[in-house]
Amino acid sequence: MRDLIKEAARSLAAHRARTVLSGLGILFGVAAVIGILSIGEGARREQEALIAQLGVLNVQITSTELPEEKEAKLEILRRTEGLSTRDVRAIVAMLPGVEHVGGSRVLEPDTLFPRPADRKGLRFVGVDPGHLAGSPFTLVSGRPLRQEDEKTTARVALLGEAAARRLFGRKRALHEWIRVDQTWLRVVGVVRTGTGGQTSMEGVTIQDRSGDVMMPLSTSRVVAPAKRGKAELDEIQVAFASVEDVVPGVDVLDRHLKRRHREQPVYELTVPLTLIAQSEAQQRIFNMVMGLIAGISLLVGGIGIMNIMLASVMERTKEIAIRLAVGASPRDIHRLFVMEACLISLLGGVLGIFAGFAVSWVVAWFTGWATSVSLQAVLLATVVSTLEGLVFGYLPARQAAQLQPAMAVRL
Amino acid sequence: MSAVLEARGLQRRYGGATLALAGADLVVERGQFVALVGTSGSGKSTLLQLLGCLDRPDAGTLHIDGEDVSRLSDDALARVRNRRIGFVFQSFHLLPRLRADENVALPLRYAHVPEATRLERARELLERVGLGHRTHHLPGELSGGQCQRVAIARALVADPPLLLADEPTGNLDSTSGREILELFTTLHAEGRTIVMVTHDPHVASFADRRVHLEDGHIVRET
Repeated sequence: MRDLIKEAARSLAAHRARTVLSGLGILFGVAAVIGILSIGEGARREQEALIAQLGVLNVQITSTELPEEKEAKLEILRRTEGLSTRDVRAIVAMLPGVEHVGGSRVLEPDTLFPRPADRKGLRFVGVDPGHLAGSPFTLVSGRPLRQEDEKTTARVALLGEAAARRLFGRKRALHEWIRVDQTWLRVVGVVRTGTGGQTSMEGVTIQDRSGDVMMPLSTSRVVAPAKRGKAELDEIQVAFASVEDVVPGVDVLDRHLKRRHREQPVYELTVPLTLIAQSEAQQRIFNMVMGLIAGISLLVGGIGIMNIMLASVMERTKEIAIRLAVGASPRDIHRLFVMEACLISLLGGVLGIFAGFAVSWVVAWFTGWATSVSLQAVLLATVVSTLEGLVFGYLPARQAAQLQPAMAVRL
Repeated sequence: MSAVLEARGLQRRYGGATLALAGADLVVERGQFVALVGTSGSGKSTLLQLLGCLDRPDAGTLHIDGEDVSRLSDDALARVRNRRIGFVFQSFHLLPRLRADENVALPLRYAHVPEATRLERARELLERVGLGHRTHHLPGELSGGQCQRVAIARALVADPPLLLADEPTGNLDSTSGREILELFTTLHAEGRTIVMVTHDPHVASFADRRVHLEDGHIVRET
């Protein structure tokens, strides 16, 4: 075996350019496989993070924009006032398997203190503590908003990390005061939210909550009273107790809300759990198509090796005949050529793994996609490229082994 | 049984209708030096290829060292070439990318002798053919006569009972050719069994038996 590897490596080294060129096909094939798998893997991880941010057990009911046209708007408003705290109470009353329900509304204040350099990304929301309870927040400092804050219309605020940074910079935000329009609020806590960055999945935009300035829903009505012609709540979040409850619960929820709002298009349901299923299905299709393309490039690479090996057998007839004449068996010759093909494809495979990392990195750099090379992808590429050597080296090796030693005397 | 080689009615036909070899009988006893003599196309090289198990006869039987090799598989035949026969070619047929000692050791590689042992043995053999100082040279760096001596060392490395040579001096100048013939004579004197093909009567005169071929037939022996 050692002799064999040495001999094969030696004859490959003698034709360095040819070896490298014939390995290129495998290199590109493996790089493509790894690159593509890394994009898929990255997308999967990113989505997992997003799902974690939304919460698998949660369902978001969001108010839709009412139509611009006055007639149509009035037509809808005559039948329903849009999402409201009454919906929240109704859901609590009728929907089984619900852990938390809470509404929230977005405010658009005119003045703000401290005046941040950049108000972009800041969002002012009144939230029901029930809404917060279902959200995957982690407390960085202070305390969350409580039920009694809501009851007492407490002048308090809970900041997302980005919001705290924007308002107070490096300064500690906890216990500081902020003024939203005419109302002073005291910061009682700072929270970290999911991954950050506004992203979308399956066409649904996922709001980054890190820039949120949150206050009790009741307090938000003091800051800015409800506007006429606008729904009382912008969002209701329903948190189910277990995954099994989500799909049937959403069904009941949707039917109930339709009836309550007289079939008017005033809300939208976002169900992270179904989004996962959809995106997984899409991911599978993406992986299959891309895998096929990568597979074809590997196949082409393998055929390249076979081609070069066949030419090499023709060219090395004399060497083969000499080896046969001094006592190599056809099997020895066969092994030599298979070994050469395997070394070429293994070399291409190893270089291809590095190239794959590079592809993955370059794709991440230019597109901003998260990419991640998995160990499985690397193992797969190694195994496949070695197998390719075995498969595509077989035919040339057989041809070499069929040569007759009598050639040696005539040459 | 002391015959190293016993051929009965060997026939070989290439493609067309003409018989390159039309039934050759030849017995070579241990220690003999035989020259196969004839013009080109007489069938002497064909006969040597059959004797060397480089080719298979269409008819006839062949015993080498007492073993019937006519019906062996390709792999078994390779083993016969490896252990029982040493072959010297007109144009040396060394592998150009192997050093002299590696070329000499090549048959032992296929006998699965460990690398260190076989290189050791190869150097001994090179020493014997007068090339002890050239073991690490590539064939391209050696003269024709030196190449042929490397080839002879290779033929002897597995210590086979039978040494075959096809016009071993054909590609050499007269001085180198004489040296090679002297080497064959020495080997013969040491008891080696040698069968050599040549068209040159002077070369043939070194052998103790001369078998003449014409048109695929053994016609006479001198």
